[in-house]
Amino acid sequence: MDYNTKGLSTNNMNTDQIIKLFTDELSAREREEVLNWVHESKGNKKEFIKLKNAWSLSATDSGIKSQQIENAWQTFKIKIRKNRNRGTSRLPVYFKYAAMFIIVFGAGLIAEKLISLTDTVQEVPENMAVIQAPPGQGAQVTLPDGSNVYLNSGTQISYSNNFLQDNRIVSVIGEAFFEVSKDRQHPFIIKTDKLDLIVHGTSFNVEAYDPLLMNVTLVEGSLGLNSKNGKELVRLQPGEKANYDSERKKVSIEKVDTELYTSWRKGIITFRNVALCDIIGKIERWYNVNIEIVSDELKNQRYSGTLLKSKPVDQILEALSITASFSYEIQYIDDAPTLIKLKKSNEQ
Amino acid sequence: MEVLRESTFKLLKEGNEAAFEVVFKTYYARLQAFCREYVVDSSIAENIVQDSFMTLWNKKSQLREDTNLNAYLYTIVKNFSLKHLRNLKTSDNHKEYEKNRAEELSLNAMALVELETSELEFKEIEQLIHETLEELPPRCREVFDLSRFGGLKNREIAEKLNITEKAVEANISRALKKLKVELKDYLPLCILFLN
Repeated sequence: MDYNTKGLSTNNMNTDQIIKLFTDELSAREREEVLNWVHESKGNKKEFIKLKNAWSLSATDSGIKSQQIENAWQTFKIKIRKNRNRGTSRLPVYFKYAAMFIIVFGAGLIAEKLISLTDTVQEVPENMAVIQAPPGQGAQVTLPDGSNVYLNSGTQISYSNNFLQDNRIVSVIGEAFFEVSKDRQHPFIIKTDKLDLIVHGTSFNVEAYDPLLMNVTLVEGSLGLNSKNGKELVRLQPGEKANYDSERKKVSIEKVDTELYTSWRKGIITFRNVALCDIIGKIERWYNVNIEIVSDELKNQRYSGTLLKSKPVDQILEALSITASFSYEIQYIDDAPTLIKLKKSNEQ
Repeated sequence: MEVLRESTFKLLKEGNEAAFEVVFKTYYARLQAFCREYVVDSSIAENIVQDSFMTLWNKKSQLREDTNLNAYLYTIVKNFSLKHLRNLKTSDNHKEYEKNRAEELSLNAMALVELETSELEFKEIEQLIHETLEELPPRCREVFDLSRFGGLKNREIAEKLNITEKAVEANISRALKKLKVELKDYLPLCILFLN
């Protein structure tokens, strides 16, 4: 038998083409042809499935280098060690700082004084309590009504000291996750510079770092988004994320996996198919560093993964650079955030 | 393939990290490669395999003495991969792939559903793959190995072996068809298409 070339039947042609689909050697047009062929009949589908599964099962090895396996193991080892330690310390390392801070804050409230973690002096009305998580730090706060607020890096919340008298009003700049205690007598209202949120017993995430855009993700309960003049724009259902564009005055709602938008409070950032430039934005905020992507082609590369915020920034970059094929250079600068440059690496 | 010693298995059940490292490093590459065939994206495959090992770690104490670890891990990876592919289907993420890619992924999910990974059969499958590849003519085997395990593109194989690309394709097809015949019992048994 001659398996080499001539006189291939249609069927043979398709097997070759299907395999090239597996090995990613088809043009967009050829790819479409194969997919159309698969859909043509039950028999073709069956043939595709058999070939696909036979192909996948034969993937007993593959070009995965031992260094990649080692890296994967190191990542895994850290995760299981972290799990083990969970028994002894409930809060992630990230919040240890915050725990200390809450006590200070409690004392400060009695004195009706402005408490802030950073030393910057701010003009605030005297009867306002202001809580700030400095860049690179998170904080957790329990409000006088028992509601919990997790502040992401560089976030400020404030509320008046007659917080519980009529209603519960909190102002947010930055990103915070709220677990609001139920209290029908005292509506819980969150004010941002763009929208007001009317809370109906609930947990949700507010991201309002961007001067123009704002994201609100509702985990449970129900939440109204009000324009600054008090009109209810939309009421969110659990599992929904609202994106507000303050320039175009538009709200769009999507169903999301809320974990992706709220896991930061547990010290975890999860990405699904997110562009590197967006991931970098989060890392910058978290670690209070400046990151410059030198090679443009890196910016739109997409990644999925989970980062543990308690790890130092160089370890995070190291982990990312393994899959992302970039190299990085860290420059420490006096009196300014550290500068990190990412370049496409040349190898491979 | 390395076979884990009984003592390793026992240590694994006890949560011994070194034993787990052996298991992890034995299975990682093949599971990742397997998963990548369906989810296409390497970094997603890496995450799924990490999650799968985490599931094994969390359930290690419930493992039976006669658990076929290989089949067990493949089954977890299969289930996580399906979950991922189904989530893709329902979420907006589809926009980000070109339409073709989305369609290919949904075909992959369809194929994966049909794949039999349950305990008993799996050992046989491995044996069969090994034997089938052994039986191929040397040139055919060489081409298949370079494509499948060497990660070379057809053009690169053709250059390396000084044959035409068409010949490369034909040899890979031949090997895969033979695998398909030998593995027929584990590939789809009976398919119900709902669409």
